Parts: sequence; structure tokens; C-alpha cells
Amino acid sequence: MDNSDFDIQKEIEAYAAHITHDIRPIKKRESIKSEFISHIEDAVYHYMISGLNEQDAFKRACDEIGDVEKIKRMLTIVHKKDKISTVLFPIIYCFALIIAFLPFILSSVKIDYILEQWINLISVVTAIALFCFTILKSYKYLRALFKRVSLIRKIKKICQQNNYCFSYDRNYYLSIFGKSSKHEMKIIGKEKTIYIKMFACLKRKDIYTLTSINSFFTSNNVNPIFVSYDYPSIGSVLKKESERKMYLPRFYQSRNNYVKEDSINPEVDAEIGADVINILCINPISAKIEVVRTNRAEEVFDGDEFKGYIVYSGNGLCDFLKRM
Amino acid sequence: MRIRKELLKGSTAIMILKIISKEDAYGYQITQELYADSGETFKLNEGTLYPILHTLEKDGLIKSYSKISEQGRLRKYYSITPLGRVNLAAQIEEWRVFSRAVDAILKEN
Repeated sequence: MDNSDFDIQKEIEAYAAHITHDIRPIKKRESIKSEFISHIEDAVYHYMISGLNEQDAFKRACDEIGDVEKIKRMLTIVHKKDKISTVLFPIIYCFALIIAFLPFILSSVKIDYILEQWINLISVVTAIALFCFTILKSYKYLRALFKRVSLIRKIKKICQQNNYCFSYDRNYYLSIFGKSSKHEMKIIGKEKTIYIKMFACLKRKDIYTLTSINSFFTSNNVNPIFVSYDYPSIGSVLKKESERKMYLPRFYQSRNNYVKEDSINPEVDAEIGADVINILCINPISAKIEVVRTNRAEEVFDGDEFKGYIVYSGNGLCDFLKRM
Repeated sequence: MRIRKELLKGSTAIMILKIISKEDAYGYQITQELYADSGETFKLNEGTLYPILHTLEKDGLIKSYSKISEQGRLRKYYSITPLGRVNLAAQIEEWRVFSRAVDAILKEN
């Protein structure tokens, strides 16, 4: 194979897709697939550091995965219950529908009065339960949809106010680029110092997690090395072109979408020594926006309270625990 | 020395559980730690790790969550649950009894 034809990211995704092909439901499959992608990427990265080229590293990583058919069988067995539940649900729903309409179905049949009363009662109860269930599901769906739309509007407004370039793609990731914001927070981690210019939080139970940090890992005198972009993992320091291509496929795939004059190419800007580049990616479905506005950089250490949250920043991560 | 799969089979889950009990870990990290902590003896077929992890998760012995790693990448981490700790302690005890018994027989021979 010609080296130039070899797209490592595509190969990894295809391989992971093959392993997880039989898993149902799709949501579950996607989650496991991304777990495998992450695993293979780690292995490839490891072997590339050891000196192998992309193709050999990928081949080695696949070899280490083992017998694909066996893994597929094992995964199918483990997730068999989920598969059954996805089949059972529509069956139960259809069965309930039939029961709800049973009096109409049996209208031409002569049956005992007491039995008829019982059938009527059961069908009414089933119909009410079905109605409530459908309304509840629809309400939840519409609420999530409304939240998403309003959040996108909110973010768009913030972007317009701050003169950020706003983009929104079909993968439900948002990207906001900015260059000269004065709002920033400095978090000193154990190993790295992170400057956050603007961020969004994903709320899971009581824990606020930064899903994306428009951060760059710098030395203390603010000298960005490289800012990664738009991969579920945000904020890597990737020095080599091959690493960037491997870990930032969406950037390389979608960079042509950002050709507006005021848009920023984080890679180029970082390389020419820009001081500040903002990147924000969030999953807007269940996200909550929190914009930090300070006129000066604030130093926040593990356990400090900041804007009503407890901050901890172990290992360069920034999680925000809601104050109980 | 290469260990036969049959020998490894019954003890993989307990070793994985033990690794996760030390600190929350993601898949690739677990395979690497298993290899390193066993003095480079146990080389797990990496793909078989995930069905085991998912089984442990279904049994409520571990739970998973997504987190951005040190390298800035989103990863699925696994952590042990209180039930998992109890189960691990019981399994370790069981394993010790078993290995003592096997050792005793092999010594005698």
C-alpha cells in the first residue's frame, strides 16, 4: 500500500466499527466503538513513539487486540440483554395498543356481559397508561430539543457579543473561536498551567465537568505550543503533524468550513506565536453554559472556591463541583 | 514464560478488579498495568479486556465514567464500587486458599 493512501484514523474507525458491528442498540454500540477507537489510538501512539511508522503501528495494535471474531462473540453475549430489551419494548407497546383497542376489535363478537366489562376496564386502564407514557416521552424529547435550541441561541449570542466566530455542525458540537478575550482564569495544575478563556460545563448529577477547555498548555510565560481542536478530547499538546492528523480528524475534515475572514486557524496561529486562542466545544444536549468574566487572570488552586464552585485541577483537568 | 490461556482464564477478572481498585483506570492503561505488575508475564489479548470490563460493570462491581485524561483526551474510566471491593476481598481470599492448596500438592509431588 502506498503510504500516502493510508488514512490511520479511517482505518482505526473501520476496525473498531467491525469489532462492534453486532452490538445493539446503536447508542451502546457507538459508546463501545469509541472506547475501542481510544484504545487503538493509544496503542498506535505508543508504537509510533517506539519508532514504528503509522502503518506498522496500526498493524501491531490490531494484532494486540486479538481474535476479532471471538471478541465480537464475547461482546454480543455480554450485551445480549440490551438486545432483547430493544426487541421487547416495541412488542410490549404493540401488545398494549391491541389491548387498548380490544373492545373495538371484539365489537362484532358476542361475549358475556361481565367479561365485556372486564375487557373494557382493562382496555381503558391500558389506554390511559399508553397515553401517559407517550405524552411523557414526547415531553422529554421536546424538552431536550428546546433546551438544545435555546442553548445554541445563548451561545450564539455570547459569541456575537464577544466577537467570536460561531459554528455549529451536525455532530452537535459547537466551536467558538476567539482571540482577544480579557476574560480568563489561570489554573495551576500539578504538572501544567492552564489558561482558560471561556468555557462551558456539562452537568452530570452534581458534578460540572469541562467538556471542552479553550485552553492551551503553556509554560508560565504564556507561550502556546499547540492548541488542539474539536476532537472529543480537547487540549492535547500535539507537536508533530502526524499526531495532529491522527488525533484531530474532525479538524482536518472540517477546516474548510471555517474560511471566514474573522475565523482563526488554531494550528497556524499557535505556530506563529499568538498569545490567546479560544476553542470551545461542547455537547449542547445537556450542557450548561458558564462564562467566566474577569478583568484579570485569577489564580485558582485545588480546593479553592471560584464563582461559587469548588475547583480542583489535578492532572491538568478542570472539574467543578457544585457547592453542596 | 508463556502462560497457558486456561490458567489465565479464571483469574483475569480478579486481576482487573485489583488494578481498578488501586486507582481509576481506562482500558489501555489496565492492559499495560497488568503486563507491568505481573513482571511482564500476563499479556492479555487486549480486545478481550472490554467484554470482561462490561461484564463487571453489569454485575455492579465497577462503574464507568468519561473524563478528560492527562493527555487531554476523552476516555472512559472505570472505578470500583463498594460492592466490587467486597467481592474483590472475597475473591482474593478464595484465590489464596486455592493457591495454597495447589502449592501444597505440588510440593508434595
